[in-house]
Amino acid sequence: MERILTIFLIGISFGSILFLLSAGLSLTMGLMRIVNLAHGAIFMVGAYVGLAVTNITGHFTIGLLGGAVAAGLVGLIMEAGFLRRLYKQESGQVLLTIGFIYIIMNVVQWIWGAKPLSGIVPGSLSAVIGIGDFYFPVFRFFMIGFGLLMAVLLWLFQDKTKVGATIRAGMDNRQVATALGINLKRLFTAVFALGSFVAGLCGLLGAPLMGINLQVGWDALLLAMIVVIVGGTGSVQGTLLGAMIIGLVDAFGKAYFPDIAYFAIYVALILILLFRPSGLLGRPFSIQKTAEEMTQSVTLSAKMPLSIPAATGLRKPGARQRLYRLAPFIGAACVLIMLGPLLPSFYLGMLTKVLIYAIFAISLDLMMGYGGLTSMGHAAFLGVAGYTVGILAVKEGIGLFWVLLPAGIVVAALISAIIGYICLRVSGTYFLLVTIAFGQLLAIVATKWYKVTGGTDGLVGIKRPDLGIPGFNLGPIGFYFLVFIALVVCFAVLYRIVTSAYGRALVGVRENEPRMRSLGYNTWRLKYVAIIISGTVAGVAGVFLAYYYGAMVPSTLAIEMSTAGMLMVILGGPGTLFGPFIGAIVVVLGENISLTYVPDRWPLILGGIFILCVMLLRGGFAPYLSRLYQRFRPEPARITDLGGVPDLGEVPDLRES
Amino acid sequence: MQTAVLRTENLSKSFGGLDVLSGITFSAGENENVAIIGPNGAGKTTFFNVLGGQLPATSGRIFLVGQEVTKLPPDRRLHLGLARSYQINNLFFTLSLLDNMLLALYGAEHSHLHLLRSLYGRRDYAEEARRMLELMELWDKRFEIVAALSYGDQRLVEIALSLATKPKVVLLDEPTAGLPTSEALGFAAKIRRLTTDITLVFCAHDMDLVFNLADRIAVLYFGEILCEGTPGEISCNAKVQEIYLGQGSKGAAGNA
Ligand SMILES: Nc1ncnc2c1ncn2[C@@H]1O[C@H](COP(=O)(O)OP(=O)(O)OP(=O)(O)O)[C@@H](O)[C@H]1O
Ligand SMILES: [Mg+2]
Repeated sequence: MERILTIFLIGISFGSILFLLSAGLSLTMGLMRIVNLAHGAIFMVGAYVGLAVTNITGHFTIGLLGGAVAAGLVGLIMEAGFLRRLYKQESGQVLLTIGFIYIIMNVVQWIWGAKPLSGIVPGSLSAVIGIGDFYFPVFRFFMIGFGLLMAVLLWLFQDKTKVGATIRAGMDNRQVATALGINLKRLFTAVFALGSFVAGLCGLLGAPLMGINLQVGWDALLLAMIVVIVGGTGSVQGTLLGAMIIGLVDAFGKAYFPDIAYFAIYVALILILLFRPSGLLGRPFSIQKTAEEMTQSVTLSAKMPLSIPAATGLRKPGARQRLYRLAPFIGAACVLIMLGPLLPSFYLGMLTKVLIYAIFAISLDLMMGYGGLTSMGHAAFLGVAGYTVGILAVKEGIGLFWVLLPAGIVVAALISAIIGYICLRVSGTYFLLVTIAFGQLLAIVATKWYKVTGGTDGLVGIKRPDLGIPGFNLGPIGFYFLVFIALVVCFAVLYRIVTSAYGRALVGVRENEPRMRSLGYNTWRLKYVAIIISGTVAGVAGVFLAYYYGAMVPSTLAIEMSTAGMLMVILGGPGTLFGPFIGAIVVVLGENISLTYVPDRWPLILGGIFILCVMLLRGGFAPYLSRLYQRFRPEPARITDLGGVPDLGEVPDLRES
Repeated sequence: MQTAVLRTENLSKSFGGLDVLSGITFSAGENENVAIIGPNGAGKTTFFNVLGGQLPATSGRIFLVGQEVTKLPPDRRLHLGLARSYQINNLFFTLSLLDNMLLALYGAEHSHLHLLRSLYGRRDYAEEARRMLELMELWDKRFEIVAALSYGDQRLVEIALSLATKPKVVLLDEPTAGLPTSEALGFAAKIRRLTTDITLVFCAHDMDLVFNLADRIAVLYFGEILCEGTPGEISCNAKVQEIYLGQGSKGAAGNA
């Protein structure tokens, strides 16, 4: 009995911290529909600054406040400087805040170093009290008390003042709210900063449970996100309920099923998604966009579509047109083929890596750029394929490429079918959040399932592909060409898909899903198929990545890998296939250059690129490049006799949309 | 009476505690043009949303050519022959006009495998897209993105998308919404051209359009069908006159 009570208290105290952590996220997401993935990083700022202030002043309370103020300031800058301009554009907010995660984490690392610090418990609260045979720290009671107090305050703030209603009205109709004399901009900034403040407040408070280290930025985001999905956004009660459930599930899981405790909260998440996707007390998170807002580019892709050539009287592109279209691809292929034997081995390795990442990026682009399904867990598909190769090669001693490649692809397809099914229970931002959770879940599996995956050490010793040709050993150049062929095949398959009616339908879903449903499309199936294709192609990249490194480690499944893929897509140009390819070149080369000159500042640069892309370079490089290329478009030949063939004019190029 | 193509039995819809539609029993016969009129907030759009499957009905049943569709999602209803347009333009604004039309045409396909051929490869769809665009006098603008079209043209596209799959019934929610009166008349003629052989159910505030197109008029008032009849009967109906004239001639002025 006492044991259960103790576990219960542990769960509730963790739940209180989770509540404080998630309250801001739920508030801004539910009310203002701002998706702030940097919320965990803001929490982390609270912890680090709080600790520093406590150490300087010697007062825990001042430390708490200092951390909270610092976190609030970061929130303020983010909202007033950036997010405000991305009102109702979730995809932009997502990418921007990912950029901030990298920047914040790197700055924190710059100031405080990469070594984990330990949290502090003030002397007055360091006592323990006995519950039967168990001891329970007083500090945890303080957490519970503080969490509940904040819950009441936030509830009063949201429901009893008119703030909640005002913001909601403002979201629905800016003009009306402005006409009523409410300064919405300032209100939004204030509420956002408040959410960050509360998260910062619990940074130091929760440090004994969460730790103070660089990983906390991601961990906290993940936990907050699970709480928000389980509880539902927008209401204080929902967040509190979600936080307590996750806290208790975690505590009881750790006490009774220590082996699988790490998965307990994910099980809770998956159950909620399957049976109550809007969360326990959630208002459905959906954004009704007006027609006007839809035209104002809700999507990731370029605002200005490429000018489509005027009608010419040709049904099929003529030979010159076709050459014009294929020329860049043929050119790129020729360059890649020639570079193979020419490059010194270091650069050849780098180029091989570029090509592997390019496969990964174009696979993500099908979902994200064409289908509008922004995923932050895409590395999961790549990783499982890589691990399949690793396990079969290292543990089972299977070397034959023709066995390992299909095995990796099939596993990636299966996993994407399962994960895709669960993720599609929700849409929009929730979809993104759930994909993060799954990516992280698989990374945890890879870390904990030591017997099979080798844990954090990973699987080492994957040899170069054995093609089964007697007397033939694949060297670095051979491997490069193998990857090259894989890229060409994947590119061709995806090219075929995006130029098909299916590809266009996918873009239709991205642009306006409700209308697609009214037009007779089972949009769920369209999206599901896109995820499976996307995951399968990512699996191809995973197989080659395993060969490339000769090893698989859990980080290949983790969130940083997924965001790297995202960056390639948005940098190059979502909704184009060649864009992400260029993105892969830039990111891989950029990383290498930065590692040579400023080894520790790469995340900072990465974050900066994210922010630049969102604020300035919507649509990536691709539209600029294709506009440039269009200058060289040949004059189409005219054919007068169409012989009864339906004349659509010159068929526009569907590669870019 | 001829067979009803579209029929509802006691159809109700409430949002929370608010009854927006209460017990609507309605039917539209083959090739019939039925207008649904009623003041702002009467529930016309909600009725269409429930008919089209965009919103679930709270109670009651919907039949399409004899088959019950109450629980079916919108895409299944389309495949059974029910299409709709929206009061507020609801298009693929960043895609070209031609792509919009082709997407609507491909919507009739049941299978995804059919979708794997090139978008422009289907000759029958290409011909149909051309026919419809020419009918709307928009053929020359087929490669323009829809966002670049004039509002009036977008309005036409809105309607054309719903007609592309040759549905048995089409629901047009205020087809001339937002158009100046001068354009609305020519618009009615285009709608008439596009909707021959189709059961048309539409709602409108514009009485010219209503009397121009409708064979029968149903008056929706606070979620109930107040009365139904031929245009002649409705225009003489005392209750209708009270609604439309008694509260100022707001509705008849053709506001949207
Ligand atoms: N999603 C919703 N939630 C709550 N109430 C709603 C919702 N949709 C519509 N209503 C309410 O239902 C009533 C009917 O709305 P509806 O849009 O169907 O009217 P309408 O006849 O189409 O009006 P109009 O002529 O202005 O287009 C209105 O009072 C409206 O406020
Ligand atoms: Mg309406």
